[in-house]
Amino acid sequence: MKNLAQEVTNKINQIIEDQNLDGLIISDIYNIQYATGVKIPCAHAQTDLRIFAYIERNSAPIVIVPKCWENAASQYNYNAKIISYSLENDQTISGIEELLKQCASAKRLGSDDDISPIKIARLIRNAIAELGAEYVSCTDDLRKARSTKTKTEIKHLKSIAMKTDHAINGYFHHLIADRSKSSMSVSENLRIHSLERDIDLEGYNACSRGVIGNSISNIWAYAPKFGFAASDFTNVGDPIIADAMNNENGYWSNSTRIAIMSEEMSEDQQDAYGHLVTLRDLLCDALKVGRKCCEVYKDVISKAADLNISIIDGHALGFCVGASPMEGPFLSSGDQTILGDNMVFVLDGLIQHKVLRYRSRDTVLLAVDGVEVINCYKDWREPYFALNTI
Amino acid sequence: MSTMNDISLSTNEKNILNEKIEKKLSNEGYDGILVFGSSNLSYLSCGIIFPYMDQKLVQPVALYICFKTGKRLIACTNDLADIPLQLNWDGDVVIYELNQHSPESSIAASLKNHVTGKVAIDENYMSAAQLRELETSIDGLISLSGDQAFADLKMIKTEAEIRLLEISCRMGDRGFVSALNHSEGAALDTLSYPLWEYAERFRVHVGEYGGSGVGNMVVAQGDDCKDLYARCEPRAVLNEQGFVRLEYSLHNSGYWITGSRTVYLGESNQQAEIAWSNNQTLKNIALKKLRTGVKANEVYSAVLKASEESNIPFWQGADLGHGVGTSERELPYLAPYDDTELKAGMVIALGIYTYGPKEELICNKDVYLITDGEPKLLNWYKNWEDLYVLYGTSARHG
Repeated sequence: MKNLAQEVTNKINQIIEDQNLDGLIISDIYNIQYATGVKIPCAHAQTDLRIFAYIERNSAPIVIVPKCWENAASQYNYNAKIISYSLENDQTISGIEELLKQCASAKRLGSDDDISPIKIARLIRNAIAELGAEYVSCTDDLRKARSTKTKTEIKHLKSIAMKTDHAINGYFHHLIADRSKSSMSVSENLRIHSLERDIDLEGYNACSRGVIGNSISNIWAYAPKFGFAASDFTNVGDPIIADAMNNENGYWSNSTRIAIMSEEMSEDQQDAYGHLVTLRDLLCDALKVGRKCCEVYKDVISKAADLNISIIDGHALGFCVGASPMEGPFLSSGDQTILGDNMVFVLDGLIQHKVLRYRSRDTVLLAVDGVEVINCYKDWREPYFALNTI
Repeated sequence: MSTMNDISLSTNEKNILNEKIEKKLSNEGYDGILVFGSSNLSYLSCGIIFPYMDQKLVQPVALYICFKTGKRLIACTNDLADIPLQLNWDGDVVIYELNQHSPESSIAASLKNHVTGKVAIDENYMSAAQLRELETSIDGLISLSGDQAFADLKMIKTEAEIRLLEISCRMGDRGFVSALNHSEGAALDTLSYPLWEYAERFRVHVGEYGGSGVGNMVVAQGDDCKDLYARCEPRAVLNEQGFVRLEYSLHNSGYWITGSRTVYLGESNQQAEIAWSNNQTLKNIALKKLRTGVKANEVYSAVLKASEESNIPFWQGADLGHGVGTSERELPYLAPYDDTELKAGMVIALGIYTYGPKEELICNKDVYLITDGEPKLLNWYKNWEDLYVLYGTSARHG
């Protein structure tokens, strides 16, 4: 078994042992991918077709999929046994019936159904009741397991974080201030420069988008063409905010960087970017193993206010990244999670300067001795400056 | 062709759709709706689309509409709050922050003083944790599953919805033709053409032709073509003579279609042509059954029968088609398990996976509107009845 599979399997087994389970039922697609390696590209979009995983202590996982996804599930998994259900009957019911067969002898079953749709959660709980087994909610156990990364997960996350930063910078390299670019062209090229660096081809989730000029007054500009942008063009001196979310080995990056279509910033841009840099420094200083997420949030908000940094009111300052592009815990006022060693956070720097909103996202690995920025192809104490002309 | 440029719902079209929704749900006894699923949110708001909701790339968003008071409300985090305004949302926007122990509890707390009465919820999307937090936060919340009512509403499209889907089809075909045009200049060139670029050319051109987003994107050649989906190795190139298939989905202003197009890389041969012709034969059988009054599973049975009689096997791992709308896959399903009666106004993606000479899965999926007469083809941009051969060399076409 490969390192990642072994490491994750150990964590799943630990949950089973700690909760004294006979088996663990997993129905959330990101949890299934985490625990078994099975990833179906359209599973979240074709919700009448359901996947379930069932894992017994120290046994290979069983993954139940509709017939049409059987081969795809077989290609990439952690030694899982793939069982498919046919087209004969209602697809969700067929999946549940197959699940019931697999855990028929269990007396105590864990499940993450809490984060699955109500309909699925109800079916799972009814199935467990029908078996006469005891139900144990394991949603938090899985969330906790996922939030602290293993050695191989960190390796993958570092790789894709750096590749994404490289891709953004690789595209920025083409910017010449007096050669106007449309936001659509920026968005396309961010994706292409990512794919050129061996990231996985992804449909839905892979987001690349460039927001330019005054359009940065909206965070999700160009609705509903979020990932395609529009036909507005840059002027000399405009800011470009580039988002890129990429996947490799099942793990995600989630990065945002700024370029200026000039060799220098305007005074406003200088103020705004300076605030982003300070905010990042404040966050990196505040992130300490053993602190609560909400304490970090309040600490940074307070210090930022003292420095007149105009943070967007109530905007969370970060989130974790892993098998999904955004996952808990969150650096927010309500999240009580205690920070731990080997958590990987995306710091979501966002500030308002006059009517514009400037954003920069750094990815950091939290360790006992501090944080390490892991998406720093270049040093982002300054934005990327385009050449004025060539 | 100017109507092909009306890529979103007009105010009048929104009103027509909204009236249809309110009438049905009010008649079924609901005071209002409270939904969290992206498909339901787009549909029931008549055109408000948030990014990457199903992928959980953003925090939860809720749509609440009260039919009795006329209150219309979207709850979202600050970073999303400008979207309803960009899309001319006529209701309120409640911004919530993550000030509770979880995103679910935070959004539930923000809805506390807004939601009343007997509301239809989307149990197919809303998480169990979300419902629990809503019940904790909102006194006297009465929630009932609205899933069947939502599905019934969505199945029969308004004229405007059909137009948006027709535009999606055109965008998809133009995107695919563009991918072909770019790759055929270099498909057999020594410089080669990456598989990812073939797919990416599709995505890029859908955007250039006005699309709002691309979903599924899988490209398969050679042995991988034997499976519905295969991972696209980052450095794989178009280099195996034979069938190449692209699976895709895309949307125009929240109206999704799915597609599957198969072409032949290199000079084709008689076996390939026969395989393609066989695929068309079974597809035409299905098409003849796409009539009002026919049940969805009867379409499947007709194809199965014809397959046995004509000795043209097809892959029975997947249905033969499904409805499309504000999600890429919805009722009815052309599968043994679905006895939904076909009705005029349904829009269905139809594609049958038959086998190539090396057991490759080949498919040519099109989208049809069910009418009182023959089904109307919405993917009319290019005729794909003949096998498309991807062939060409050059130093490098851009």
